[in-house]
Amino acid sequence: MTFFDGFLYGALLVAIMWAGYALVYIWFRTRNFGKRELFSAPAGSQVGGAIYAFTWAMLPWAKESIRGNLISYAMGIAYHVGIFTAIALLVIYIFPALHDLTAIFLYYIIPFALAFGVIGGISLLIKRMLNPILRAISSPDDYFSNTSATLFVGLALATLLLSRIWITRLWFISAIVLFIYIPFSKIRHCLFFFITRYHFGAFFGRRGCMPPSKTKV
Amino acid sequence: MPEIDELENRINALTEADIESGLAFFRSKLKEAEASYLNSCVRCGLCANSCHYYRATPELENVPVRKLGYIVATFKASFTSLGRIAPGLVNAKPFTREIIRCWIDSVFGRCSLCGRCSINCTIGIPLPSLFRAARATLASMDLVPLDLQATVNNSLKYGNNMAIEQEEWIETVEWIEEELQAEVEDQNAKLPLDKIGAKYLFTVNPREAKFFPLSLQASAKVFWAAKENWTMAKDVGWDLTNYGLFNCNDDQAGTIFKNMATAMDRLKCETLVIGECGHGYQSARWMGPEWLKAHFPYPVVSFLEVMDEYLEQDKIKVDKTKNQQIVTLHDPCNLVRHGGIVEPQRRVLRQSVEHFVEMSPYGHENFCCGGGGGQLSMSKYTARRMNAGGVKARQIADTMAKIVATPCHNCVDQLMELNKEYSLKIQIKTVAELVANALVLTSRKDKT
Repeated sequence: MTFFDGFLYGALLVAIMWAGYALVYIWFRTRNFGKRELFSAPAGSQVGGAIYAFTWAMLPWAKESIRGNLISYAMGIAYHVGIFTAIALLVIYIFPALHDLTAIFLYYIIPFALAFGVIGGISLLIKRMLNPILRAISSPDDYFSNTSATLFVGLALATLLLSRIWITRLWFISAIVLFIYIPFSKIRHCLFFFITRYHFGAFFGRRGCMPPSKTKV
Repeated sequence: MPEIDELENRINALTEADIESGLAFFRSKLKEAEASYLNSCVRCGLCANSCHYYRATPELENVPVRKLGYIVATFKASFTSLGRIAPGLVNAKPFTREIIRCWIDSVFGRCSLCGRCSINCTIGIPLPSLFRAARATLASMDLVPLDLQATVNNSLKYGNNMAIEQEEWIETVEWIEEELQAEVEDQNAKLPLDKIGAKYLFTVNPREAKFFPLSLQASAKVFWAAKENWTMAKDVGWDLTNYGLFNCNDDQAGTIFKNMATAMDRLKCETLVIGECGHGYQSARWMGPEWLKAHFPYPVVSFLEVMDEYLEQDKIKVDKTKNQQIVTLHDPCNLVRHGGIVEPQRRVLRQSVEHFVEMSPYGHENFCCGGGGGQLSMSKYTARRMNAGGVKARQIADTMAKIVATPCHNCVDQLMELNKEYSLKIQIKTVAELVANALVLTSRKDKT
């Protein structure tokens, strides 16, 4: 390992720790806003609502917004699978001992997941650029977040397929940039998605609105 | 002076201290949940089509995430580090007169707080909770559209939102009682007022007393048929409406709600029954305890649940052939999406009408009629309201129904306007009106 590679490994670990620390810090800041005490008598279960929010409510047919945008939904799923796969691959590269254990995935599954991730990321970026409504509601962060994450996934795929040291280094650099940027960006939804979804499900679960009644025609 | 100028004048008259205190108030309305929501939006834009405003007029300002964006912009600029350091990166915008105008236009002028965007949000952000925080902030700065605030003021001054004096209320009830007695040929058919210790304290929308006495008569007929021990309040506490839910001034909303809570204490009733009203139900069942910061010792139920129970327990009998026409159901957002009352009205209608058809979509996915969120009282936005209501009008027309049942008088008003505007040629009835018409009066002569 060269000094530069050692530096990259070190910087990557620092970036990951930074992302983790900063996200926890932001989370604690939101917790400082305080909890809302509820006085109305519950009609349903908070836990049941939260479970529904994380399961059935996320299925493609559960929401009209998804039923009508199945391609966007598929691209989003592919993109997120690609990102999580790239992060898993990063772990495998940081801990070479995992290499042999994961060999079958490395050659037969991970490349496909990464390739779909790149396609998903690029297609969502193009959609954002071409759709006038999406363009109007977007901030520079939307483009930078998408680009940096897609680049990270793309370089992971290139690293796996081409086995060039300079590509691996570029991939590590993209990972460092991505992890440093996460707390500043909308990618913080990697944490807040779960918090929001919990509150959403718990709130409507308590009111007996979630899971929704299965009305009979 | 047109209200648009009047509101603009109030914005222009704001001092920097007013704006700062408005911002501090906004901060005070946010709890952990809301702060999390404001950190969550990924601007995927998939909420657009869930909004009836956007469906009716597909323009940028009607997209839910655009409306939310103005609130997020303020949150980021004022309460996040990055928003202060690099506002351009995340579209953070300080709380200025310009952004206040955007807030007013989006949360009062383009939103009925129906919550359809929430259930369609890919993240799960309950947007109305944030829009309510924004409305509350504007209320704290005296920036509520005048006619909406006037409705709230009526409730605060008279104890009901239509400024009905007590004498007029009592006379109306007595008149409806006579009509009911004539209808059922029973001099014991009563609309009791201030009956101490009754099982149910029944509350109504003042529009029933003023314009729709048949609605109140229908509810009373159902109670009479079930031989129920019920009452209404003679003094304040009979009005179930609470437009404090819409101007989002929690102090005023709490004061209005206290009328009902006080009537419950005074009359020592067992259960508070909310007549057919969407926002009235959400106000009393879910928000009232929060506004008063109190656990109620009595249950709060919808009249739909009461009728459902009567049918289930055979306390009343209905003959569905008495309602022969095709009936569809409009789901009030406050009752269904926000209130969780979805099935009782369906069970009741299936037993009370011969041909019941659902709209598409229906239940918790149903579209708002356009009259929610206080829109009916904000004349400034009438054109938008009627345009957005076109989505509901098309839903109704597609069912081929001749009668639209809706358990909400605000929805009744909006649907009546849509009926005219879109030439739907329908009748609009409450659920109780259909049940009353279908009642089988076994022990007494049936005059229906």
